[in-house]
Amino acid sequence: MKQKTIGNETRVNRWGYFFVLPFVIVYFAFQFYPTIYTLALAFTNSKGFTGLSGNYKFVGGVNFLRLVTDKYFWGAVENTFIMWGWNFIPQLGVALILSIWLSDSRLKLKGRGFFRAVIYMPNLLTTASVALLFRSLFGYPLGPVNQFLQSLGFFAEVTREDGSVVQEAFNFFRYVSASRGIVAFIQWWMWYGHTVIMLMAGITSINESLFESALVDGANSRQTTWYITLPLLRPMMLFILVTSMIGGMQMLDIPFLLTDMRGGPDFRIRTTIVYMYNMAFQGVNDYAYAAAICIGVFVIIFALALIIFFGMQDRSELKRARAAKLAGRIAK
Amino acid sequence: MKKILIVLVAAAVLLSGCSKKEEASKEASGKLVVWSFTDELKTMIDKYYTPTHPGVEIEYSLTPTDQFPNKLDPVLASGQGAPDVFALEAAFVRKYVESGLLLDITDIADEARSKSLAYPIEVGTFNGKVYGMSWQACPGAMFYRRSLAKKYLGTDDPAEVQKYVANLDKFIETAELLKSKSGGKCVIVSSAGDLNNVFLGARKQPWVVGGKLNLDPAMVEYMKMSKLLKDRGLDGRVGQWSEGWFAGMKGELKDEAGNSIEAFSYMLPTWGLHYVLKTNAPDTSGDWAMCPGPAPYRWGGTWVGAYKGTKNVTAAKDFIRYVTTDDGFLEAWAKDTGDVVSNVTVMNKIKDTYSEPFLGGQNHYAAFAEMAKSVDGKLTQGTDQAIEGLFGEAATAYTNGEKSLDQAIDDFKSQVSAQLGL
Repeated sequence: MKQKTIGNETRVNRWGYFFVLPFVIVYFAFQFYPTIYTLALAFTNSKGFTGLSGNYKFVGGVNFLRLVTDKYFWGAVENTFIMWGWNFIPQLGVALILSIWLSDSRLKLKGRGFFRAVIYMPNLLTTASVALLFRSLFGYPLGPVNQFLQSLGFFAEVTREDGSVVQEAFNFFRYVSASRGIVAFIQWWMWYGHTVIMLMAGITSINESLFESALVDGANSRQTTWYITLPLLRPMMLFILVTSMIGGMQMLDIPFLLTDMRGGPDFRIRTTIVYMYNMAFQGVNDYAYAAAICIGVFVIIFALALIIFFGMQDRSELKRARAAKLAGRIAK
Repeated sequence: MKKILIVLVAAAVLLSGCSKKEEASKEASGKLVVWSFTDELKTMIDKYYTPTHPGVEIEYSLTPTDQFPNKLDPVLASGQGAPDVFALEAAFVRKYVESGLLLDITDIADEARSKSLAYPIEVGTFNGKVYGMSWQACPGAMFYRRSLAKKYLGTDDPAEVQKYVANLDKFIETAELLKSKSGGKCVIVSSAGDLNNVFLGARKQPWVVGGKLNLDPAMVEYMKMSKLLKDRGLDGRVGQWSEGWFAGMKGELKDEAGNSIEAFSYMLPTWGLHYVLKTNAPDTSGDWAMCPGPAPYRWGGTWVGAYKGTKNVTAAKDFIRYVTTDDGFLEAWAKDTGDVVSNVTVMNKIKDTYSEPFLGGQNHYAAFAEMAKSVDGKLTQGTDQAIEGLFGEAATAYTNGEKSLDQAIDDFKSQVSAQLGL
């Protein structure tokens, strides 16, 4: 009797494999295989026209040696980090405020769903069109932003050869910090809605009775936020930090399309992935080195994720676990 | 009697025509897969090649220019699903010519060499063998506004205006003259970037010599010129292909204070006349003229090549021979489209018949034909696009005063060495 039930279960369970099959096939073809292939390529000298059709030799760690000594790679890492940081800090800040407001039952905001949708909207746009939009918004010398600034009386002052000073429009994409700022702003604008949604989900999952008891105890809004919402949102913020970092380190389309596809001005908005693209698909098609860059970025992301994860883990929980262990040992 | 005679003659013509066609198609038959990024090839096939070569069945496919190499690279490298014949754009033609994956068509080039312009074949030549041919020539010229030339230089005659811009020193002098005579309103070019191609054409040596990066003095001159124009306020400060650039063509460019800026000239090649000026500034028709400008240069163009592993070598070669060298076809094509062809026989035959209303009746064809002779095709290499991209950043940084000349050049060399290993 028992035997038969198990037999039935196995037979039914078998269908499970069929259901996951499409995903597994797609995953192996488009995720797993390319990953392994990239890893393998990084150890070869695959380069140029026939570089991807088997016309290469394994050369060991040469590409990685080149990677760690390539100042432009580390420059790209720095660029990526700065632009991600400039986007992430305001993003989390603004998203926290908005999500707390939007989910505060005491405020009773009207049209919550509407705001949520509007805030999320920029995320639905194609990054390519957003990049081109900002490119023409900040255009030189005739872009709308320049025209607006001029109407307010703001000009860039340029000294001509004969010593005369002329008032001109701002050539935004020739200033490093302005260009980085624009990239960071676009990233922020496109992703803060997403973060708001995530944080609101986090807030909703906090047990309502905690807020109720706080209310009964006479806590005000600031206190509930400070002592209940924020501490309990910590795991969610940690998750957002890690995913945003992973996404940020892979930033490509905006900095790529915003200026000259090489990360100008002075290659200071060249992210690691833009650099990788320049290597692999422009110029001499150095696939092997581009693959090494990918692996390098992967290692950096992995290390950072581990640091963030262990660095920001809730200490009290660790302590409690240790205490429980200790208690268990004593009981024995 | 007369009627019968006419019918007989007509029949004879028809018959001889038919028999000729048969001869041609005897050589080439079967199927040919053709890939292109330009409609031109499609027109050539439908209107000219297929009617005269009924034995060849052509399968044509079009891919936009920016995606074309991405589509072509993998199939050429693997050989699976590769087209037999394909079009190659000036920006990337050398990459394929140097790849070793193209069919050797030196025999076609040798047949046509005596009647062809030198540079289109030079661009298609690598290690003494020819891998790509072009039906057209895209020499660059300087297009200027007649009204402005008359107002500030006192003449709008191309030969006279050419004297004002005969070399790069004269060019700067004239730029100053235009500025002072117009009270600061008239700039010689709307974008200093216009001059990039001119200086590229003025180089003595290509970017890479003996496996090493070679910064030709002409390119350093370009950086200096571009800074000079900026520092003295002699250009319109817009970028090529930007809104301001097009506004300048229409005479609608304005500065920050709303004062209008007059753009005196544009550096454009053959196609620039038909597809840039005419389409973007139709109202200024008749107010333009062209002269060679400070240095001969070329810009753009399409080459045709075949895959080394093509199964139908005869048809592929026949196709390339027909579209890039055939006198009869190229004459008809030039008359149809106004394209400047690479075939000198045809060029000489038809060049005196043109009068372009957009240029106030000037014969642009004869002028371009003359310019095409001085272009040096040996300057073009596969890594040009990547190197010029990196150079552009260096030139801009120096022009804007962000870096010193040495600093900009050092950074450029260092970037090239990191990215291209040169």
